[in-house]
Amino acid sequence: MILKELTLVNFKNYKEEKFRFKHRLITISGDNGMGKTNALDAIYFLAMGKSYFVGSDRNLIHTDQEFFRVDARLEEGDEKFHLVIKNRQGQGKEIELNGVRIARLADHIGLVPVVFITPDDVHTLLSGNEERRVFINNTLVQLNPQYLDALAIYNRNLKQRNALLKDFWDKQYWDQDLLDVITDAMSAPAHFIHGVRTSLINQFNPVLQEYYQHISQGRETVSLIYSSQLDGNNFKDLSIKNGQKDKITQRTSVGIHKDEINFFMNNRPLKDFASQGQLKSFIFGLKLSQYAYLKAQTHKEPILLLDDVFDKLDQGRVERLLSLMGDTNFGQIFITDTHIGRTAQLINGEEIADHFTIAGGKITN
Amino acid sequence: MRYPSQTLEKLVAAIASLPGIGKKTALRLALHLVQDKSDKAAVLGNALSRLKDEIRFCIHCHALSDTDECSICQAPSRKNGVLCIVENIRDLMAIEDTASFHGRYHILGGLISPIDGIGPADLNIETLIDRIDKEGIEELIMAISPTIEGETTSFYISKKLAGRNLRLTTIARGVSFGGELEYADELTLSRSISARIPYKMGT
Repeated sequence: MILKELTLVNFKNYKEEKFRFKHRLITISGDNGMGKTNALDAIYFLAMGKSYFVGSDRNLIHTDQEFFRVDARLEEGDEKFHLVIKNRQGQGKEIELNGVRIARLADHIGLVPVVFITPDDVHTLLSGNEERRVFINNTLVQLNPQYLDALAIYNRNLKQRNALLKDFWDKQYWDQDLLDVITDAMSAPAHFIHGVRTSLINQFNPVLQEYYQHISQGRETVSLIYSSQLDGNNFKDLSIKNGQKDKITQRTSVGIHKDEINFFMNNRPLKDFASQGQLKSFIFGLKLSQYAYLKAQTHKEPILLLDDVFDKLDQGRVERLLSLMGDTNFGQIFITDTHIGRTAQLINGEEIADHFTIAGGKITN
Repeated sequence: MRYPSQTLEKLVAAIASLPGIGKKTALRLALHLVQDKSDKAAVLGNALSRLKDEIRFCIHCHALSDTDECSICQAPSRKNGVLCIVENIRDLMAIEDTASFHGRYHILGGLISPIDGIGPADLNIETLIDRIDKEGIEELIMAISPTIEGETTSFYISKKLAGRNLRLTTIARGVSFGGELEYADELTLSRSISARIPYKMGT
């Protein structure tokens, strides 16, 4: 998918601005706080219906304004798309594709596959299982609308189940029938999600190994290991077995919300044994594997968003990364950098890239 | 905003306390009533003051009614043995408007949602079970919104009815009438396929 035009109205620090893209590579330079990352986040928002950084859509609206609008013209082969997502305070978002309203987010995600790489990813992905599950989820929702539906049904029922367990405890009663009804409702989505996650991670590992070695030039073997309580077990059986525990802790102790995704290097936990450089190579490799996987599954070239990554990488890794970007495996790539001209120089040449300079939510060049 | 009259201010505040009505709309409605030459204000006032005293809930189905038994439960033309379970009075009125259901109703008064502190005991489920046993109900139609809480509620009721000789049905979910397949969302379409219905063979 190729983004040809992007118009932002009241989106974060953009009052109103229009970008036109001619090339496959786009660099956006400017000082910190000028709106480079916000431009990338707007593209991510178009694809995923939510911000990469901000939890609530309300906080994406420009100060003192009541709505925002992200308007894009895209192309995939001969097909042209006009995609608009707007949000009016208190009214939620509206997605429109070629003038037709799309009611459910699940039916929109996947049209524009996207991968976002930010310097914070190293920290985030190493910090906890929840963040790693989010990464896996963000990959799978782009491929399978049923995955997002299953996740939504599972999570809503999980909330209800936890609320019920708490109510049992607070009011000192027990309603096995109601608990069973909610547990049953979680079972099918749980097994579906478990199956999809398992197959994703099996297919991920060889690609991860390849990208890791390319970026790091290292000989280590790296892998993701997925472990779930549902591996070889039935959700309902486990729930029954853990009934007493759930009753006392007033929490649901069994399910895919407890799934673990761990990173390994040479069969040892990555976090404990890898150097800073190896960690960065791993996370980059992981994100590029996400790219390769999305591309293979959707037969579309995802949009790659690289935020400020050159600041955090050493010269050698940057060069190897750019040599990867240069090859035709990638579609459109957006790169931000605080050094005006640096990325442009690295990519060498105006003819293959669009260069923008941003200040205060405005294009200045 | 400053009001020239306290009576007007009180009326505006009262109207604005209703759901979906802001201060400006409330003022417009209040001024309309003041300036109206007919007896609109008196009629409205009378209707409002009688509301709380005279409206009650039907002892069978829990619908709003002027008498202990609502007009639907009393009507002899209504088919015996079939009950349609709905969440609230608005859903009942929507089904009544279709004029295609001739049995009687039972209003639950909400859906099970522990997050919102609503459990089975807060709904009219026990009276439903009583009715089923006393009125010789043969078919129960679950006309409950296909949300997560709606599914939980339907499934819970079906569990409570286990072992009874009763036909349980649910309203069909799927592609809307007059809708085009290509615009139906995937979840709806996949449900329509898996819950497909027999089609009359051409002769």
